[in-house]
This record gives sequence, structure tokens and C-alpha cells, in this order.
Amino acid sequence: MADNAWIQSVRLARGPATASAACPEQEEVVHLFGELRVPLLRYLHGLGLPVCDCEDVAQDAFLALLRHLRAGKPRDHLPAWVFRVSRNLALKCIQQTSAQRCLDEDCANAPDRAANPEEQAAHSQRERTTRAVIAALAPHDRQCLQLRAAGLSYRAIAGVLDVSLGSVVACVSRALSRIARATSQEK
Amino acid sequence: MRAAQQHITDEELILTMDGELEEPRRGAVDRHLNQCWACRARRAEFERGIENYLAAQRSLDAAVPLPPAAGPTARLRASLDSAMAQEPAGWRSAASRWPRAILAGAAAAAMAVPVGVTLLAWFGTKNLEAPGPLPDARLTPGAVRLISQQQVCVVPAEDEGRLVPAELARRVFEQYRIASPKPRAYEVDYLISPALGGATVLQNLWPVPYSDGVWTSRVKDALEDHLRQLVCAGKLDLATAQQEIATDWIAVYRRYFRTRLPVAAHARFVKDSPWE
Ligand SMILES: [Zn+2]
Repeated sequence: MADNAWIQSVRLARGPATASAACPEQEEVVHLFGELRVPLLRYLHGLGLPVCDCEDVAQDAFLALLRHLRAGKPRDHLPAWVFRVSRNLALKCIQQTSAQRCLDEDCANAPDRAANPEEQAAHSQRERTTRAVIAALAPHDRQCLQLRAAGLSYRAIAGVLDVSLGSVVACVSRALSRIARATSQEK
Repeated sequence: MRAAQQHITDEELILTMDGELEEPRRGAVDRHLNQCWACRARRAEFERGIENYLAAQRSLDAAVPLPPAAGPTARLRASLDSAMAQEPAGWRSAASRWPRAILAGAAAAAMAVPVGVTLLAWFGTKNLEAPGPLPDARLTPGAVRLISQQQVCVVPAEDEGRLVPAELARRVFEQYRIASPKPRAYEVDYLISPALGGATVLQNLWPVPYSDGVWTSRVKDALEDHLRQLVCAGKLDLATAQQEIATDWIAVYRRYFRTRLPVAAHARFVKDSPWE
């Protein structure tokens, strides 16, 4: 095993001489934020967190990512790392929620915008059926689908959710066949 | 005998669709799919499930609009900036400041990175039996994070993480060929302390026996504190302080405190916890 600290000191040594110059890790974090923010917020929202809190969790996670990169920690599967850290932050936040808000007050006062009923009515029958199936899925299965839709590999999802690869694949196949079956019965 | 083959399981079908099935199973599954309409129909069903899922999810998402990315991105940039400002960042090579500096482990470094190695070695005048009050200069030449005087002094000395990760500590003992260190007998100490910009790397750590004569790690801690005070008072150059402590701290102690033996108060100076 390479001495991480040593690699760190060597790696950072290549950085700019002045502290004010932008550091490459910082740019990398911002870039990844641009790529992952939307799916991440969707995922966190799916866990039951208000959008505004999701935004705060995402900020914390990406700040942690900077430290992670600066410390020379492993750089493979960074999206999965971000999802995992965010998920942990979000769950902690949800657990302690009612008693004492983990995040800002402003956030609590900014309710999520609900869709207007007309907009909802405009959806096709198939879409409504699918939505009903999604709503009826076990939360775990729904999360698997969402993470896969966000582009994570099954292996990465297993890491995020701390379950086996087999169980991730099983829940995705279960969910997809349920959706397919429900929608093929109508037309 | 096509019909005799077993159909592909849902799980394998899913993994195949997403290119995550490993060889050699993958080849067998591909061949089966070429032959078997039933399995291909199931695959198509999964694809339809994905399509419907995405469509439904899109409309669900539309019901909860997200704020535009610009604001949050700017906010992230700002907090990254301030995190970087707090961090003792901007490591740079200061080889020019020390003409005597020699790259530590040049061969290893050359493999790892081409340029700008910060690890500086001071090959001391003495070649000591390790471990002792002075480290073996070949094993522990000292290494610094290159941070400015100002950066050293904004962080309280106590806040500089002095805890050496267990794995690193283990390697320090290994390097010094101490097979099973007795608990509470050693402190894995920094040659250049973090409060003076020392790095938490193998090259800057060595096992200091607590019981080894009068020149204990506590006395060294007292010297480090003193040097740091001088640095932060603007009376001593940080680079000089680092170099002094890395070269022969006992000589430096004698010079600064004008004494041949450690001051009694310094021998009781307690700052670090022993290695356990
Ligand atoms: Zn088949």
C-alpha cells in the first residue's frame, strides 16, 4: 500500500505556488457539482427531504469532496462517493428533523412548489399507471431505480446503499418488470 | 439443442443490458440471447419498463421544480474558497531556501511524480542509533507542508492535528525495526511539528522512547512551542525554525535556552498522548 500521506504531500507539491491561485481539486469539485446536482437533489428529495434542505446537503457533500480529494483519498467512483455521503447526511438530517432542524430556518419557510392540478391531469394513462407503480414500490426499490437513472452502475449503487450487488440488481429487475407489466395491460 | 438451454435470469438480463455482466458468463448470455426469442422479449420488456419509468419520473420531477444552478454553484465556489483559505494550502517547493536540501527518497519520488517534490532531507551530522532523542536522519529527514508564517500562526498550535494515524504509526515502528512496541513506552513524534508546518508523512515521524534519558519528546515539545512563539512574534523565520528543529533539535534547545541540560519545567511539559 502506498503511503497516502506521502503521495499527498508530493501531489500537492505540484500545486500553484500562491495560495490564491485556483486549485485543480476545487475546479474538479465544481465541475462534478454541475454534473451531479440535479440527479442528487432528486435523489435526496426522494428520501423525504425538502428541496431546500437537499440543496444544503449537496453543498456539504461537495465541500466534503474537496477535503476528500485534497487528502489524496481514492478518486475512483466519485459520483458514487458523493451520493453515499449525501445520503448519510440526509438520513442524519431526517432522523433529527422534527426536534431540531438540522439545516437553516429559511429553508423550512420555503415550501416546495406543488404542481398545479391541471398539469397533473394532462398526463397520459400510461404515465399515471407508471406513477402509481412507482409510488407503490418499496422505498429501497425506488432508490435503486433512481440511482440507476442517475447513471450509477449497479456496483456503485450497492456501495451507496450498503447492500449487495445481487440485491440491487434484483430490486431493479423487480421494479422494471412491475412497471412493464402494469403498462402493457392497458393501451 | 437450443431448447435445452436454460433461460437467462432477470438479474443476468439486467446486468447484460447495462454491460455489467462479467466474462465468461457474458459470452454465454450473449449467445443465448442470439438464439432465444423469449429472453429477447423479456429484455424488450425491461427496456419498456425503463422508458415508462423515465417518462413518469420526468413528470414527477416537473412537479417539483429545482432552482437554477447558478446560485448554488456560486455558493459552493464561495465555501470551497473559504475552506481552501483555512487550509494550510499552497505547498510549494522551497528547495531554493535551503541549499543543503536534498530530495528525500529521490528514486521513489521520481516514480511517483516528475516535479516539485516538497520533501526535504537534512542529512544530519550525526548518525545516531535509532530510536533515540534524535531520529535517524536517513529514515526521518523531516518533511514540511509549505505554508506561510501567517498561515502557521492563525491556527492555534493545539488545533494542529498531532494524532498520527494508527497505520502510519505502525509503519514508523516497522521502519525503525521495532517489532512490538510496548504500550505507553513511545510517542510517535513529528520531527517538524505540525504547528511549525511539519507534514504527517513517514519521513517526518519517528518513535521517541519516553524513557530515553533527559532529552524526551516533552522537552522537544517545549522547544517547538518556543520556536513557534518566536515565529509568530516575527522574531524568527519559519523556514529557519523548521530547519533547526529538523537538523539537531538538542543543539538548538541548548542554544535557545542557554543550558546544557533540559530545564526542569520542560521535562514535565505534557502535550501529547503516548502511543498505545
Ligand atoms: Zn431464453
